[in-house]
Amino acid sequence: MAFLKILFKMIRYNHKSYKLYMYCNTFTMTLLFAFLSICSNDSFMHSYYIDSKISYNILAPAALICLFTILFLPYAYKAFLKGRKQEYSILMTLGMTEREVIANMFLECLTVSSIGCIAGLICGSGLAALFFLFLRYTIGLTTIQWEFHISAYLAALILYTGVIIIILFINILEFIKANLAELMSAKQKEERKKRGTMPRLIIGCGTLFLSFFIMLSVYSSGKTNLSLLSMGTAIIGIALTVSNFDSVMPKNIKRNWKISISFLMQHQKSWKTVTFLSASLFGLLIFFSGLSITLYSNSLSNAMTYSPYDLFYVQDHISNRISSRKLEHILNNNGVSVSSRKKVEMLRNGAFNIISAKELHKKLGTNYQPVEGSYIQLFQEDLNDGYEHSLTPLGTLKIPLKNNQELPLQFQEQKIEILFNPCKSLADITIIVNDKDFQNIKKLAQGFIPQNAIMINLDNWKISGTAIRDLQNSMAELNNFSEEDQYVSSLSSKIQAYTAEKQASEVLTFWIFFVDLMFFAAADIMICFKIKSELKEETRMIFSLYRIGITAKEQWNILLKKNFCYFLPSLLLGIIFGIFYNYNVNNVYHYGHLGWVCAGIVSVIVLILQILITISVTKHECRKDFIFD
Amino acid sequence: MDCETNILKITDLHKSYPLRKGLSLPVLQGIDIKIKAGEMTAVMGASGCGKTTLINVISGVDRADSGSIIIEDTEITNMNKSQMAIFRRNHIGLIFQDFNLLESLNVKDNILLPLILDKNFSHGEELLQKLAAILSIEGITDKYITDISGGEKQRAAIARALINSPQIILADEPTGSLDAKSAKDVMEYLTTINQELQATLLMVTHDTFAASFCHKVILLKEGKIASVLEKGDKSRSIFLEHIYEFLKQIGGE
Repeated sequence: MAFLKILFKMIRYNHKSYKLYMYCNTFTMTLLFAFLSICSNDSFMHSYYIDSKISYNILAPAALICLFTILFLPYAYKAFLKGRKQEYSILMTLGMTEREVIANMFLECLTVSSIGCIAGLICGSGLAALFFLFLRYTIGLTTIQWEFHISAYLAALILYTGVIIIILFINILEFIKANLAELMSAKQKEERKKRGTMPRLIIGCGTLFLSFFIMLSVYSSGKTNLSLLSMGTAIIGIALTVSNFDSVMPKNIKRNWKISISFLMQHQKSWKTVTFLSASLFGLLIFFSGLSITLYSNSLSNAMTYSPYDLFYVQDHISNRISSRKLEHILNNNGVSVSSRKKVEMLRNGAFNIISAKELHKKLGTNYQPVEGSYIQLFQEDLNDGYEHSLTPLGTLKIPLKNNQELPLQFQEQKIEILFNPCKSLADITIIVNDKDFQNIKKLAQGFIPQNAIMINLDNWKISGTAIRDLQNSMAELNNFSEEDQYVSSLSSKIQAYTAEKQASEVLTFWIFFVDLMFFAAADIMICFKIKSELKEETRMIFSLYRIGITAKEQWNILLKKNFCYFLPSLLLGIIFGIFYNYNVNNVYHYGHLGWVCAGIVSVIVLILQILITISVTKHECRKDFIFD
Repeated sequence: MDCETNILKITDLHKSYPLRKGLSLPVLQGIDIKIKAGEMTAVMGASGCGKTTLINVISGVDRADSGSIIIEDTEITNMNKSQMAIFRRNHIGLIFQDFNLLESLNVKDNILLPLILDKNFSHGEELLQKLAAILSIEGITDKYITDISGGEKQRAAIARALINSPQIILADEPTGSLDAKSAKDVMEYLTTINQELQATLLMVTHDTFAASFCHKVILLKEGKIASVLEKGDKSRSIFLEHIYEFLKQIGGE
């Protein structure tokens, strides 16, 4: 009982570090659960309700949050344990056994983590609700339904608990390995050990160059899946370079920087850890925010490119039957009129759309010339849209005929051109054949439905949203569509494509900026707590300097320079990383310049913010200092 | 306790620290020490001669490479970490240069900690009062560690080292962080405790003045015992001069 009383007193005295660790856990779990609950929302992730362009945009930010959880939780526990280790070592010299200390560590970690977990789930539910409201009312995704899936709780709990158990296990192992004498001098030793070495620094710089080489040479040649490898290599390079930079520290540093750097070098190991972690966070922040701005402008132009007609639909003998007069009447009632109308005959089964080259030439003015018995494969893609494309030719096709025979069609060539809007009534693959082959297939082939693609341009597509919805409803009524039929036979329009892209871009920008804001906060919180943990020692050093005649202005200069050394190197590394990758990732699709400009703008904003934060932290530090009060 | 009984018997003690590339730095090289019950012994020597390592090894904070350490008939070098912790809790009192008091607890709780860890605090309050009176810290037992002076901290640490009535007190530079007056006070208190409670004390120190309070001074040089000086019937001031002279001869600090 008395020991519990003592423990309680110790907890009460150290309540700030317990609270801080709990806040870190709560903060991480809040983000993790909020993102996972949106990811597991059926109505958000199902393409029936929400365009997959919009819903899939959450996957990258959710992956970043998972990565953040894996990195941030161990850091928070390590920082928490740093303070506790000294007390444990004193208790052990007084006769507390290792088993009792481990039981205590276990109990402490599990209690604080459990409270953080429960608080995180509650706050995460609130944050998920805010996300839901934002998506539904600000972005306009009215089909999204409010739901909490058990899988979100399970996934968040599994990841969170897994990370906590692993870090606890690793730290207990480290604790068992160390003897008491090492634990008693752990703080000083930790800062002293692992000084940087020149060979490791050279390996670090080499790894960075290797990552740049992968990006510049290999990635640019079209192997875009190597970007992750390059980024991973760059992060290892940054870690090695940062942890060994002191091996090339010049001895004749300017006198006015010398004192500030000496403050830093006293805690160089933790400085290196914090700098590496915050550089990674800043790098990801600048890369993703730059990328999301680039994608925003890019995806709006993609919407126009992929929807060449203001209204497009496919009509066969049962679906989308509507007279021209009725159609024009509905559009006119909504203030929109038809400026041109085209109709292309085609054949479709589950896999192919088959179109006659002659029909295409007549209606759309194309000049494809497939020879008899061959076909041209049409890829309706824009290669500069910022996405990867798979342009694999099909080879020889065998069209099944009604008399159980087959009509072979040889691959002639592939063409890349967007002729139609994307439409659920069309098959994924489009082939263009000679008119004679087309007529044969139409007459003799099995399983092909004749249909017409209707392409309409309007006088003003930007105001056609209501008209298109009315038309869709009228068609559903006229054709007695079930809900499923309506989904399959839905109209494709420029306004819908534009709205969907705009919503997708807004959602992506929102996710990325939210995650970036969290990364920015996490990086700066780490740095601020590091500075705070050194405040006592720093005050002692400043007092020593005061005794030999330092002025308030000189103190300000020393602390400001020291804080610049904390706040800026990681950001500068992050800026180089972010701009470099933004340029290269986008350059493959000819958006390189836009990419680096966007990342550059974000970098300037973050840099200004960081300088302001540095000044404010220094002011706060000087206010805390008892000497010049 | 019989004053002729050896409370601490160290035989052929070796300890080295690993360096890079498979090399090791020998710190203790065949130390033999015998300390009788109620004896005050100081270990002196230049920085890096192995004084603190000796205290750490005797207290089980660090492990010896070879040799034997017997504290009151118990061989401690074979004990595992838990056995050593329990042994330390019941038989050894430790005093450190930087006090090693928990800032989160007040003076009273800090002093009672060894008993609390042992779940044996029935006579704790009584013992505390007695020690507080001897060490003149009655007035500060409710204060927090951050609110007391260095001398008071060290006296609190001494009380904590004595609260479990240990067979031996091991002190690592007990006057190292104190000014001259506080150092003198602390040594006088330790002498009082030695006389009143028959406590056995082994301390390592740089301070010849502090060492002069002891019955015996062991001089270490490069991990070996260079000499042992006995106070005998000498007065403290003569013994102090004797230590000075000897240190000069062997080139100590």
